Amino acid sequence: MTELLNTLYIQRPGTSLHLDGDTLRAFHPDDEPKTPPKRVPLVRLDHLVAFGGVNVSQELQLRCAADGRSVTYLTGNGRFLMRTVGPATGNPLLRQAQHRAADDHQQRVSISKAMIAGKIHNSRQVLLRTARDSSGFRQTALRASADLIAERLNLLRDATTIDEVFGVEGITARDYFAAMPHLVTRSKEWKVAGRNKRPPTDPVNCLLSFLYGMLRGAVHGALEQVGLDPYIGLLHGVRSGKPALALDLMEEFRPLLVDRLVFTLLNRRELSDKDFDHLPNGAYQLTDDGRKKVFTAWQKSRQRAWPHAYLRRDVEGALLPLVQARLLARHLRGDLAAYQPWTVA
Amino acid sequence: MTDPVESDSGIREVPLSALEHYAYCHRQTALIHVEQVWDESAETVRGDLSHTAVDLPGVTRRAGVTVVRSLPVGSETYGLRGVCDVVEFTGQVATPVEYKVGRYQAGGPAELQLGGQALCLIDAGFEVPLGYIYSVAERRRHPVTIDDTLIEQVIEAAGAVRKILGTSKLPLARNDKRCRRCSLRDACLPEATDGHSRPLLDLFTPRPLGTWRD
Ligand code: SF4
Repeated sequence: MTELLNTLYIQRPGTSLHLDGDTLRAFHPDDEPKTPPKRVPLVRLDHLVAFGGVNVSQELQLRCAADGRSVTYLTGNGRFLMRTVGPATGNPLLRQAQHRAADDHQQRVSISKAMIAGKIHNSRQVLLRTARDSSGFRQTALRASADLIAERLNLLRDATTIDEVFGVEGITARDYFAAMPHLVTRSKEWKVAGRNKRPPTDPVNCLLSFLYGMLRGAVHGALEQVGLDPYIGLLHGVRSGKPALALDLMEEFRPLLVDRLVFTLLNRRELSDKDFDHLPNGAYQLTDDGRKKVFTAWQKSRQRAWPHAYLRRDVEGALLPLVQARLLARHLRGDLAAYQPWTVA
Repeated sequence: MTDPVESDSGIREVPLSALEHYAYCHRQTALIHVEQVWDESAETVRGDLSHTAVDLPGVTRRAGVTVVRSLPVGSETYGLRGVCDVVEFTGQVATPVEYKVGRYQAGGPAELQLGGQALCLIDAGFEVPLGYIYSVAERRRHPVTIDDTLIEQVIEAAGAVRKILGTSKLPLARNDKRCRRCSLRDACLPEATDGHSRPLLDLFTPRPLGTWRD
Protein backbone atom coordinates (compact mmCIF):
# COMPACT_ATOMS: atom_id res chain seq x y z
CA MET A 1 0.00 0.00 0.00
CA THR A 2 2.99 2.27 -0.21
CA GLU A 3 1.83 5.19 -2.23
CA LEU A 4 4.01 6.22 -5.10
CA LEU A 5 7.26 7.18 -3.54
CA ASN A 6 7.32 10.89 -3.45
CA THR A 7 10.66 12.47 -3.77
CA LEU A 8 10.82 16.23 -3.88
CA TYR A 9 13.72 17.61 -5.86
CA ILE A 10 14.65 21.23 -5.19
CA GLN A 11 17.21 22.54 -7.58
CA ARG A 12 16.84 26.29 -7.88
CA PRO A 13 19.86 27.82 -6.14
CA GLY A 14 18.87 30.29 -3.45
CA THR A 15 15.75 28.39 -2.47
CA SER A 16 15.29 27.85 1.24
CA LEU A 17 13.02 25.23 2.72
CA HIS A 18 11.27 25.61 6.02
CA LEU A 19 9.04 23.65 8.32
CA ASP A 20 5.60 25.10 8.75
CA GLY A 21 3.41 22.93 10.93
CA ASP A 22 3.11 19.69 9.00
CA THR A 23 4.05 21.21 5.67
CA LEU A 24 7.22 22.12 3.88
CA ARG A 25 7.40 25.71 2.70
CA ALA A 26 9.75 26.73 -0.11
CA PHE A 27 10.91 30.30 -0.39
CA HIS A 28 13.03 32.06 -2.99
CA PRO A 29 14.12 35.71 -2.62
CA ASP A 30 13.56 36.39 -6.34
CA ASP A 31 9.90 35.39 -6.18
CA GLU A 32 7.37 38.15 -6.55
CA PRO A 33 6.50 39.35 -3.06
CA LYS A 34 2.88 38.54 -3.74
CA THR A 35 3.27 34.96 -4.98
CA PRO A 36 2.30 32.63 -2.18
CA PRO A 37 5.17 30.37 -1.05
CA LYS A 38 5.03 26.81 -2.33
CA ARG A 39 3.82 24.33 0.25
CA VAL A 40 3.88 20.56 0.29
CA PRO A 41 2.32 18.49 3.06
CA LEU A 42 5.08 16.39 4.60
CA VAL A 43 2.93 13.26 4.66
CA ARG A 44 3.18 13.18 0.90
CA LEU A 45 6.97 13.11 0.90
CA ASP A 46 9.36 10.26 1.53
CA HIS A 47 12.56 11.93 0.45
CA LEU A 48 13.92 15.38 -0.18
CA VAL A 49 16.71 15.97 -2.63
CA ALA A 50 18.41 19.36 -2.41
CA PHE A 51 20.80 20.48 -5.11
CA GLY A 52 23.66 22.94 -4.81
CA GLY A 53 22.70 26.28 -3.29
CA VAL A 54 19.48 25.07 -1.69
CA ASN A 55 19.09 25.65 2.01
CA VAL A 56 17.18 23.31 4.29
CA SER A 57 16.37 24.73 7.70
CA GLN A 58 17.57 22.73 10.64
CA GLU A 59 14.06 22.51 11.96
CA LEU A 60 12.94 20.85 8.77
CA GLN A 61 15.92 18.50 8.75
CA LEU A 62 15.23 17.41 12.30
CA ARG A 63 11.59 16.84 11.54
CA CYS A 64 12.48 14.78 8.48
CA ALA A 65 14.92 12.71 10.52
CA ALA A 66 12.29 12.15 13.19
CA ASP A 67 9.76 10.98 10.61
CA GLY A 68 12.21 8.67 8.87
CA ARG A 69 12.40 10.85 5.79
CA SER A 70 15.82 11.23 4.23
CA VAL A 71 17.32 14.44 2.94
CA THR A 72 19.93 14.08 0.22
CA TYR A 73 22.28 16.85 -0.84
CA LEU A 74 23.76 16.86 -4.32
CA THR A 75 25.95 19.29 -6.17
CA GLY A 76 24.41 21.19 -9.04
CA ASN A 77 25.74 18.42 -11.25
CA GLY A 78 24.08 15.72 -9.28
CA ARG A 79 27.18 14.49 -7.46
CA PHE A 80 26.28 12.99 -4.12
CA LEU A 81 27.36 15.09 -1.14
CA MET A 82 25.46 14.01 1.91
CA ARG A 83 22.38 12.30 3.10
CA THR A 84 20.76 12.74 6.45
CA VAL A 85 18.62 10.07 8.06
CA GLY A 86 17.15 9.60 11.49
CA PRO A 87 18.13 7.07 14.11
CA ALA A 88 18.79 3.66 12.61
CA THR A 89 15.77 1.47 12.81
CA GLY A 90 15.37 -1.68 10.93
CA ASN A 91 16.07 -5.24 11.07
CA PRO A 92 19.27 -6.60 12.52
CA LEU A 93 18.46 -10.08 11.21
CA LEU A 94 18.41 -8.74 7.68
CA ARG A 95 21.72 -6.95 8.11
CA GLN A 96 23.22 -10.08 9.55
CA ALA A 97 21.97 -12.06 6.57
CA GLN A 98 23.45 -9.47 4.23
CA HIS A 99 26.84 -9.73 5.90
CA ARG A 100 26.72 -13.50 5.72
CA ALA A 101 25.92 -13.34 2.01
CA ALA A 102 28.82 -10.95 1.47
CA ASP A 103 31.11 -13.55 3.04
CA ASP A 104 29.63 -16.45 1.14
CA HIS A 105 31.35 -16.68 -2.22
CA GLN A 106 28.71 -18.85 -3.79
CA GLN A 107 25.83 -16.66 -2.75
CA ARG A 108 27.68 -13.55 -3.89
CA VAL A 109 28.25 -15.11 -7.29
CA SER A 110 24.68 -16.23 -7.75
CA ILE A 111 23.15 -12.89 -6.75
CA SER A 112 25.68 -10.99 -8.86
CA LYS A 113 24.93 -13.19 -11.85
CA ALA A 114 21.24 -12.48 -11.48
CA MET A 115 21.84 -8.74 -11.33
CA ILE A 116 24.09 -8.72 -14.39
CA ALA A 117 21.69 -11.02 -16.24
CA GLY A 118 19.02 -8.43 -15.55
CA LYS A 119 21.22 -5.70 -16.92
CA ILE A 120 22.04 -7.69 -20.04
CA HIS A 121 18.42 -8.56 -20.64
CA ASN A 122 17.34 -4.94 -20.32
CA SER A 123 20.23 -3.73 -22.49
CA ARG A 124 19.10 -6.13 -25.20
CA GLN A 125 15.60 -4.75 -24.92
CA VAL A 126 16.93 -1.26 -25.61
CA LEU A 127 18.79 -2.51 -28.67
CA LEU A 128 15.89 -4.59 -29.98
CA ARG A 129 13.35 -1.82 -29.50
CA THR A 130 15.50 0.74 -31.29
CA ALA A 131 16.19 -1.81 -34.04
CA ARG A 132 12.47 -2.40 -34.48
CA ASP A 133 11.93 1.32 -34.99
CA SER A 134 14.78 1.82 -37.44
CA SER A 135 15.79 0.48 -40.83
CA GLY A 136 18.66 -0.32 -43.13
CA PHE A 137 22.21 -0.43 -41.90
CA ARG A 138 21.31 0.93 -38.51
CA GLN A 139 18.81 -1.84 -37.92
CA THR A 140 21.28 -4.51 -38.99
CA ALA A 141 23.94 -3.12 -36.70
CA LEU A 142 21.60 -2.95 -33.72
CA ARG A 143 20.35 -6.50 -34.27
CA ALA A 144 23.92 -7.72 -34.53
CA SER A 145 24.73 -6.08 -31.19
CA ALA A 146 21.67 -7.65 -29.61
CA ASP A 147 22.76 -11.08 -30.88
CA LEU A 148 26.26 -10.59 -29.61
CA ILE A 149 24.96 -9.65 -26.19
CA ALA A 150 22.65 -12.66 -26.18
CA GLU A 151 25.69 -14.89 -26.50
CA ARG A 152 27.28 -13.26 -23.50
CA LEU A 153 24.42 -14.62 -21.42
CA ASN A 154 25.81 -18.13 -21.98
CA LEU A 155 29.15 -17.01 -20.65
CA LEU A 156 27.41 -15.54 -17.66
CA ARG A 157 25.51 -18.76 -17.02
CA ASP A 158 28.82 -20.59 -16.70
CA ALA A 159 30.56 -17.98 -14.54
CA THR A 160 31.66 -19.37 -11.18
CA THR A 161 33.66 -16.48 -9.75
CA ILE A 162 33.04 -12.80 -9.16
CA ASP A 163 35.88 -11.98 -11.55
CA GLU A 164 34.18 -13.94 -14.30
CA VAL A 165 30.90 -12.15 -13.65
CA PHE A 166 32.72 -8.82 -13.83
CA GLY A 167 34.43 -9.97 -17.00
CA VAL A 168 31.13 -10.73 -18.70
CA GLU A 169 29.68 -7.46 -17.49
CA GLY A 170 32.68 -5.62 -18.90
CA ILE A 171 32.55 -7.07 -22.40
CA THR A 172 28.79 -6.77 -22.60
CA ALA A 173 28.95 -3.11 -21.61
CA ARG A 174 31.62 -2.58 -24.26
CA ASP A 175 29.50 -4.29 -26.93
CA TYR A 176 26.45 -2.34 -25.90
CA PHE A 177 28.07 1.08 -25.82
CA ALA A 178 29.80 0.34 -29.12
CA ALA A 179 26.28 0.43 -30.56
CA MET A 180 25.68 3.88 -29.07
CA PRO A 181 26.15 5.76 -32.36
CA HIS A 182 23.20 3.72 -33.67
CA LEU A 183 21.07 4.35 -30.62
CA VAL A 184 21.31 8.10 -30.98
CA THR A 185 20.10 9.45 -34.28
CA ARG A 186 22.15 12.34 -35.62
CA SER A 187 24.95 10.84 -33.58
CA LYS A 188 27.59 12.89 -35.41
CA GLU A 189 25.93 16.09 -34.34
CA TRP A 190 25.96 14.84 -30.74
CA LYS A 191 29.56 13.69 -31.05
CA VAL A 192 28.68 10.21 -29.86
CA ALA A 193 31.65 7.91 -29.57
CA GLY A 194 31.35 5.44 -26.70
CA ARG A 195 31.14 5.69 -22.97
CA ASN A 196 33.49 8.13 -21.24
CA LYS A 197 32.99 9.65 -17.85
CA ARG A 198 35.77 11.56 -16.13
CA PRO A 199 34.92 14.12 -17.29
CA PRO A 200 32.23 13.36 -19.86
CA THR A 201 33.41 14.83 -23.14
CA ASP A 202 30.20 14.80 -25.12
CA PRO A 203 26.56 15.57 -24.39
CA VAL A 204 25.47 11.93 -24.37
CA ASN A 205 28.01 10.97 -21.74
CA CYS A 206 27.29 14.10 -19.80
CA LEU A 207 23.62 13.11 -19.61
CA LEU A 208 24.41 9.50 -18.78
CA SER A 209 26.67 10.51 -15.90
CA PHE A 210 24.16 12.98 -14.60
CA LEU A 211 21.24 10.56 -14.61
CA TYR A 212 23.28 7.64 -13.27
CA GLY A 213 23.87 9.94 -10.33
CA MET A 214 20.13 10.40 -9.91
CA LEU A 215 19.56 6.68 -10.19
CA ARG A 216 22.28 5.95 -7.67
CA GLY A 217 20.62 8.28 -5.18
CA ALA A 218 17.29 6.55 -5.69
CA VAL A 219 18.76 3.07 -5.26
CA HIS A 220 20.78 4.10 -2.24
CA GLY A 221 17.66 5.46 -0.61
CA ALA A 222 15.66 2.34 -1.41
CA LEU A 223 18.29 0.08 0.16
CA GLU A 224 18.34 2.15 3.32
CA GLN A 225 14.60 2.21 3.48
CA VAL A 226 14.46 -1.57 3.35
CA GLY A 227 17.20 -1.87 5.95
CA LEU A 228 20.04 -3.11 3.76
CA ASP A 229 23.51 -1.62 4.09
CA PRO A 230 24.29 0.18 0.81
CA TYR A 231 28.04 -0.14 1.47
CA ILE A 232 28.25 -3.91 1.75
CA GLY A 233 28.23 -5.05 -1.85
CA LEU A 234 27.95 -8.47 -3.38
CA LEU A 235 29.23 -7.92 -6.91
CA HIS A 236 31.20 -4.79 -6.14
CA GLY A 237 32.38 -6.22 -2.83
CA VAL A 238 33.39 -3.86 -0.10
CA ARG A 239 35.41 -0.84 -1.03
CA SER A 240 35.86 1.92 1.44
CA GLY A 241 33.64 4.86 0.67
CA LYS A 242 31.80 3.11 -2.18
CA PRO A 243 28.13 2.33 -1.78
CA ALA A 244 28.87 -1.04 -3.34
CA LEU A 245 25.43 -2.58 -2.92
CA ALA A 246 23.85 0.51 -4.46
CA LEU A 247 26.19 0.11 -7.42
CA ASP A 248 25.25 -3.57 -7.66
CA LEU A 249 21.54 -2.94 -7.62
CA MET A 250 21.82 -0.07 -10.09
CA GLU A 251 23.05 -2.33 -12.85
CA GLU A 252 19.71 -3.81 -13.87
CA PHE A 253 18.10 -0.35 -14.03
CA ARG A 254 20.69 1.51 -16.08
CA PRO A 255 19.68 0.51 -19.61
CA LEU A 256 15.97 1.25 -19.41
CA LEU A 257 15.64 3.83 -16.66
CA VAL A 258 18.59 5.95 -17.77
CA ASP A 259 20.10 5.04 -21.16
CA ARG A 260 16.80 4.78 -22.94
CA LEU A 261 15.70 8.11 -21.45
CA VAL A 262 18.90 9.80 -22.61
CA PHE A 263 18.57 8.47 -26.14
CA THR A 264 14.93 9.51 -26.27
CA LEU A 265 15.67 13.02 -25.00
CA LEU A 266 18.26 13.54 -27.69
CA ASN A 267 16.40 11.80 -30.49
CA ARG A 268 13.26 13.79 -29.83
CA ARG A 269 15.34 16.96 -29.73
CA GLU A 270 14.06 17.80 -26.29
CA LEU A 271 17.58 19.01 -25.57
CA SER A 272 19.76 21.07 -27.85
CA ASP A 273 23.39 22.03 -27.95
CA LYS A 274 22.47 25.19 -26.06
CA ASP A 275 21.64 23.10 -23.00
CA PHE A 276 25.30 22.23 -22.51
CA ASP A 277 28.36 24.24 -21.62
CA HIS A 278 31.46 23.12 -23.42
CA LEU A 279 34.30 23.70 -20.99
CA PRO A 280 37.89 24.53 -21.98
CA ASN A 281 39.16 21.14 -20.78
CA GLY A 282 36.89 19.39 -23.24
CA ALA A 283 34.26 18.49 -20.64
CA TYR A 284 30.54 18.96 -21.17
CA GLN A 285 28.25 20.22 -18.46
CA LEU A 286 24.52 20.86 -18.35
CA THR A 287 23.45 24.47 -18.15
CA ASP A 288 20.92 25.45 -15.48
CA ASP A 289 18.24 25.37 -18.08
CA GLY A 290 19.36 22.06 -19.46
CA ARG A 291 19.43 20.56 -16.00
CA LYS A 292 15.92 21.68 -15.37
CA LYS A 293 14.74 19.96 -18.53
CA VAL A 294 16.53 16.77 -17.58
CA PHE A 295 14.95 16.76 -14.12
CA THR A 296 11.52 17.28 -15.47
CA ALA A 297 12.06 14.40 -17.85
CA TRP A 298 13.51 12.20 -15.10
CA GLN A 299 10.66 12.94 -12.73
CA LYS A 300 8.12 12.26 -15.43
CA SER A 301 9.75 9.02 -16.43
CA ARG A 302 9.74 7.88 -12.82
CA GLN A 303 5.97 8.02 -12.82
CA ARG A 304 5.49 5.67 -15.71
CA ALA A 305 4.77 2.01 -15.09
CA TRP A 306 7.01 -0.80 -16.31
CA PRO A 307 6.06 -4.44 -16.61
CA HIS A 308 7.87 -6.65 -14.11
CA ALA A 309 8.56 -10.06 -15.62
CA TYR A 310 8.84 -11.88 -12.31
CA LEU A 311 6.07 -10.22 -10.32
CA ARG A 312 3.87 -10.19 -13.42
CA ARG A 313 2.49 -6.77 -12.74
CA ASP A 314 3.37 -3.18 -13.54
CA VAL A 315 5.57 -1.18 -11.20
CA GLU A 316 6.19 2.58 -11.37
CA GLY A 317 9.74 3.57 -12.20
CA ALA A 318 10.06 5.40 -8.89
CA LEU A 319 9.15 2.22 -7.01
CA LEU A 320 11.31 -0.23 -8.94
CA PRO A 321 14.44 0.29 -6.79
CA LEU A 322 12.36 -0.25 -3.66
CA VAL A 323 10.68 -3.36 -5.04
CA GLN A 324 14.04 -4.83 -6.03
CA ALA A 325 15.61 -3.94 -2.69
CA ARG A 326 12.73 -5.83 -1.09
CA LEU A 327 13.11 -8.83 -3.36
CA LEU A 328 16.78 -8.87 -2.41
CA ALA A 329 15.92 -8.59 1.28
CA ARG A 330 13.36 -11.40 0.94
CA HIS A 331 15.97 -13.61 -0.71
CA LEU A 332 18.59 -12.83 1.93
CA ARG A 333 16.08 -13.64 4.67
CA GLY A 334 15.37 -16.99 3.10
CA ASP A 335 11.88 -16.19 1.83
CA LEU A 336 12.78 -16.56 -1.83
CA ALA A 337 14.97 -19.24 -3.34
CA ALA A 338 16.85 -16.81 -5.57
CA TYR A 339 17.23 -13.12 -6.22
CA GLN A 340 15.13 -12.13 -9.21
CA PRO A 341 16.28 -8.96 -10.95
CA TRP A 342 13.88 -6.58 -12.60
CA THR A 343 13.57 -7.56 -16.19
CA VAL A 344 11.14 -5.79 -18.44
CA ALA A 345 8.61 -7.88 -20.34
CA MET B 1 17.92 -15.82 16.43
CA THR B 2 16.76 -12.66 18.07
CA ASP B 3 17.76 -11.87 21.60
CA PRO B 4 14.80 -12.82 23.68
CA VAL B 5 13.11 -9.98 25.49
CA GLU B 6 12.53 -11.59 28.81
CA SER B 7 10.50 -10.54 31.76
CA ASP B 8 11.85 -11.09 35.26
CA SER B 9 10.15 -14.45 35.46
CA GLY B 10 12.02 -15.55 32.36
CA ILE B 11 9.09 -15.66 29.94
CA ARG B 12 9.64 -13.88 26.67
CA GLU B 13 7.23 -10.95 26.70
CA VAL B 14 4.65 -10.52 23.99
CA PRO B 15 3.59 -6.98 23.03
CA LEU B 16 -0.18 -6.65 23.23
CA SER B 17 -0.30 -5.13 19.74
CA ALA B 18 1.24 -8.33 18.41
CA LEU B 19 -1.90 -10.21 19.47
CA GLU B 20 -3.95 -8.16 17.07
CA HIS B 21 -1.43 -8.60 14.29
CA TYR B 22 -1.36 -12.32 15.01
CA ALA B 23 -5.13 -12.57 14.72
CA TYR B 24 -4.91 -10.87 11.34
CA CYS B 25 -1.96 -12.74 9.88
CA HIS B 26 0.91 -14.73 11.38
CA ARG B 27 3.38 -13.41 8.87
CA GLN B 28 2.36 -9.85 9.65
CA THR B 29 3.26 -10.46 13.30
CA ALA B 30 6.73 -11.57 12.29
CA LEU B 31 7.20 -8.75 9.78
CA ILE B 32 6.37 -6.13 12.37
CA HIS B 33 7.83 -7.63 15.52
CA VAL B 34 10.78 -9.61 14.15
CA GLU B 35 11.68 -7.88 10.90
CA GLN B 36 10.77 -4.42 12.19
CA VAL B 37 9.00 -3.62 8.97
CA TRP B 38 6.61 -0.76 9.32
CA ASP B 39 5.16 1.03 6.39
CA GLU B 40 3.96 4.55 6.80
CA SER B 41 1.05 3.69 4.65
CA ALA B 42 -1.96 5.93 4.63
CA GLU B 43 -3.67 3.62 7.04
CA THR B 44 -1.00 3.67 9.70
CA VAL B 45 -0.65 7.42 9.38
CA ARG B 46 -4.36 7.80 9.88
CA GLY B 47 -4.13 5.43 12.81
CA ASP B 48 -1.46 7.61 14.40
CA LEU B 49 -3.51 10.75 13.95
CA SER B 50 -6.50 9.23 15.68
CA HIS B 51 -4.26 8.13 18.49
CA THR B 52 -2.67 11.46 19.25
CA ALA B 53 -5.51 12.59 21.50
CA VAL B 54 -5.46 9.43 23.58
CA ASP B 55 -1.68 9.06 23.38
CA LEU B 56 -1.07 11.93 25.78
CA PRO B 57 -0.80 10.29 29.16
CA GLY B 58 -3.13 11.74 31.73
CA VAL B 59 -5.59 11.08 34.48
CA THR B 60 -9.07 12.58 34.88
CA ARG B 61 -11.50 11.97 37.67
CA ARG B 62 -15.25 12.38 37.55
CA ALA B 63 -18.05 11.02 39.69
CA GLY B 64 -16.20 8.07 41.15
CA VAL B 65 -14.58 7.09 37.83
CA THR B 66 -10.86 7.51 37.24
CA VAL B 67 -9.94 7.64 33.56
CA VAL B 68 -6.32 6.94 32.65
CA ARG B 69 -4.98 7.47 29.15
CA SER B 70 -1.93 5.62 27.80
CA LEU B 71 -1.69 3.28 30.73
CA PRO B 72 1.29 0.91 30.60
CA VAL B 73 0.28 -2.58 31.64
CA GLY B 74 1.95 -5.93 31.85
CA SER B 75 1.59 -9.41 33.22
CA GLU B 76 4.45 -11.39 34.66
CA THR B 77 2.33 -14.49 34.80
CA TYR B 78 1.34 -14.45 31.16
CA GLY B 79 4.36 -12.64 29.70
CA LEU B 80 2.45 -9.71 28.26
CA ARG B 81 3.18 -6.02 28.06
CA GLY B 82 1.70 -3.04 26.33
CA VAL B 83 -0.14 0.21 26.65
CA CYS B 84 -3.91 0.62 27.01
CA ASP B 85 -5.36 3.60 25.14
CA VAL B 86 -7.85 4.33 27.92
CA VAL B 87 -8.82 2.49 31.11
CA GLU B 88 -11.71 3.57 33.30
CA PHE B 89 -11.44 2.53 36.93
CA THR B 90 -14.45 2.35 39.23
CA GLY B 91 -13.40 0.87 42.54
CA GLN B 92 -12.05 -2.61 41.81
CA VAL B 93 -13.54 -2.71 38.32
CA ALA B 94 -11.37 -1.75 35.35
CA THR B 95 -12.77 -1.14 31.88
CA PRO B 96 -10.26 -0.91 29.01
CA VAL B 97 -11.20 1.05 25.88
CA GLU B 98 -9.20 0.42 22.71
CA TYR B 99 -9.33 3.01 19.92
CA LYS B 100 -9.49 1.78 16.34
CA VAL B 101 -9.53 3.83 13.15
CA GLY B 102 -11.77 1.58 11.12
CA ARG B 103 -15.20 0.17 11.69
CA TYR B 104 -15.86 -2.29 14.46
CA GLN B 105 -15.79 -5.93 13.52
CA ALA B 106 -17.42 -8.32 15.97
CA GLY B 107 -14.97 -11.08 16.88
CA GLY B 108 -12.24 -9.28 14.94
CA PRO B 109 -8.53 -9.04 15.73
CA ALA B 110 -8.97 -5.97 17.96
CA GLU B 111 -10.89 -8.07 20.48
CA LEU B 112 -7.87 -10.25 21.07
CA GLN B 113 -5.83 -7.17 21.88
CA LEU B 114 -8.54 -5.92 24.23
CA GLY B 115 -8.61 -9.36 25.83
CA GLY B 116 -4.85 -9.10 26.37
CA GLN B 117 -5.29 -5.76 28.11
CA ALA B 118 -8.02 -7.25 30.27
CA LEU B 119 -5.77 -10.16 31.22
CA CYS B 120 -3.04 -7.75 32.35
CA LEU B 121 -5.54 -5.80 34.43
CA ILE B 122 -6.95 -9.01 35.93
CA ASP B 123 -3.41 -10.09 36.76
CA ALA B 124 -2.97 -6.77 38.57
CA GLY B 125 -5.95 -7.61 40.79
CA PHE B 126 -8.85 -5.85 39.08
CA GLU B 127 -12.16 -7.21 37.93
CA VAL B 128 -12.64 -6.78 34.22
CA PRO B 129 -16.07 -7.96 33.11
CA LEU B 130 -16.30 -5.64 30.12
CA GLY B 131 -14.21 -3.67 27.67
CA TYR B 132 -14.93 -1.41 24.73
CA ILE B 133 -13.64 -0.94 21.24
CA TYR B 134 -14.08 2.63 20.15
CA SER B 135 -14.42 3.00 16.40
CA VAL B 136 -13.17 6.38 15.27
CA ALA B 137 -14.93 5.93 11.93
CA GLU B 138 -18.30 5.30 13.59
CA ARG B 139 -17.63 7.55 16.58
CA ARG B 140 -19.03 5.07 19.00
CA ARG B 141 -17.91 2.41 21.41
CA HIS B 142 -18.80 -1.25 21.12
CA PRO B 143 -19.00 -3.36 24.29
CA VAL B 144 -17.02 -6.58 24.40
CA THR B 145 -17.67 -9.12 27.14
CA ILE B 146 -14.47 -10.37 28.73
CA ASP B 147 -15.29 -14.03 29.31
CA ASP B 148 -13.27 -17.21 29.80
CA THR B 149 -13.36 -18.03 26.12
CA LEU B 150 -11.70 -14.75 25.18
CA ILE B 151 -9.11 -15.08 27.94
CA GLU B 152 -8.25 -18.60 26.80
CA GLN B 153 -7.86 -17.36 23.24
CA VAL B 154 -5.51 -14.65 24.48
CA ILE B 155 -3.33 -17.10 26.39
CA GLU B 156 -3.16 -19.43 23.42
CA ALA B 157 -2.35 -16.63 20.98
CA ALA B 158 0.34 -15.25 23.31
CA GLY B 159 2.02 -18.65 23.28
CA ALA B 160 1.89 -18.80 19.51
CA VAL B 161 3.26 -15.26 19.15
CA ARG B 162 6.07 -16.13 21.54
CA LYS B 163 7.05 -18.96 19.23
CA ILE B 164 7.06 -16.65 16.21
CA LEU B 165 9.23 -14.10 18.02
CA GLY B 166 11.68 -16.80 18.93
CA THR B 167 12.42 -18.03 15.43
CA SER B 168 14.14 -16.04 12.76
CA LYS B 169 12.28 -17.79 9.94
CA LEU B 170 9.19 -15.98 8.73
CA PRO B 171 5.83 -17.71 8.40
CA LEU B 172 4.65 -18.10 4.81
CA ALA B 173 2.49 -15.39 3.29
CA ARG B 174 -1.24 -16.00 3.12
CA ASN B 175 -1.63 -14.40 -0.28
CA ASP B 176 -5.41 -14.15 0.06
CA LYS B 177 -7.92 -11.34 0.21
CA ARG B 178 -6.58 -10.02 3.51
CA CYS B 179 -3.38 -9.07 1.75
CA ARG B 180 -5.24 -6.50 -0.27
CA ARG B 181 -6.00 -4.47 2.85
CA CYS B 182 -2.68 -5.15 4.50
CA SER B 183 -0.38 -2.17 4.92
CA LEU B 184 2.67 -4.42 4.81
CA ARG B 185 1.86 -5.81 1.43
CA ASP B 186 4.69 -4.09 -0.40
CA ALA B 187 7.27 -5.28 2.08
CA CYS B 188 5.77 -8.74 2.32
CA LEU B 189 5.49 -9.50 -1.40
CA PRO B 190 2.83 -12.14 -0.69
CA GLU B 191 2.63 -13.23 -4.32
CA ALA B 192 6.23 -14.36 -4.14
CA THR B 193 6.47 -15.56 -0.55
CA ASP B 194 3.41 -17.76 -0.09
CA GLY B 195 5.40 -20.95 -0.50
CA HIS B 196 3.86 -21.85 -3.84
CA SER B 197 6.70 -19.69 -5.05
CA ARG B 198 6.03 -18.70 -8.59
CA PRO B 199 8.51 -20.20 -11.03
CA LEU B 200 11.82 -18.39 -11.03
CA LEU B 201 12.79 -16.82 -14.31
CA ASP B 202 15.40 -18.42 -16.50
CA LEU B 203 17.75 -15.47 -16.50
CA PHE B 204 20.29 -16.77 -18.95
CA THR B 205 18.11 -17.43 -21.96
CA PRO B 206 17.64 -14.43 -24.23
CA ARG B 207 14.06 -13.30 -24.51
CA PRO B 208 12.36 -11.67 -27.48
CA LEU B 209 11.47 -7.99 -27.53
CA GLY B 210 8.90 -7.25 -24.84
CA THR B 211 5.69 -5.32 -25.16
CA TRP B 212 6.73 -2.50 -22.80
CA ARG B 213 5.61 0.82 -24.10
CA ASP B 214 7.93 3.69 -24.61
S1 SF4 C 1 0.47 -9.08 2.81
FE1 SF4 C 1 -0.80 -10.81 3.37
S2 SF4 C 1 0.65 -12.39 4.00
FE2 SF4 C 1 1.76 -10.47 3.99
S3 SF4 C 1 1.63 -9.73 6.06
FE3 SF4 C 1 -0.08 -8.80 4.95
S4 SF4 C 1 -1.81 -10.19 5.24
FE4 SF4 C 1 0.04 -11.30 5.84
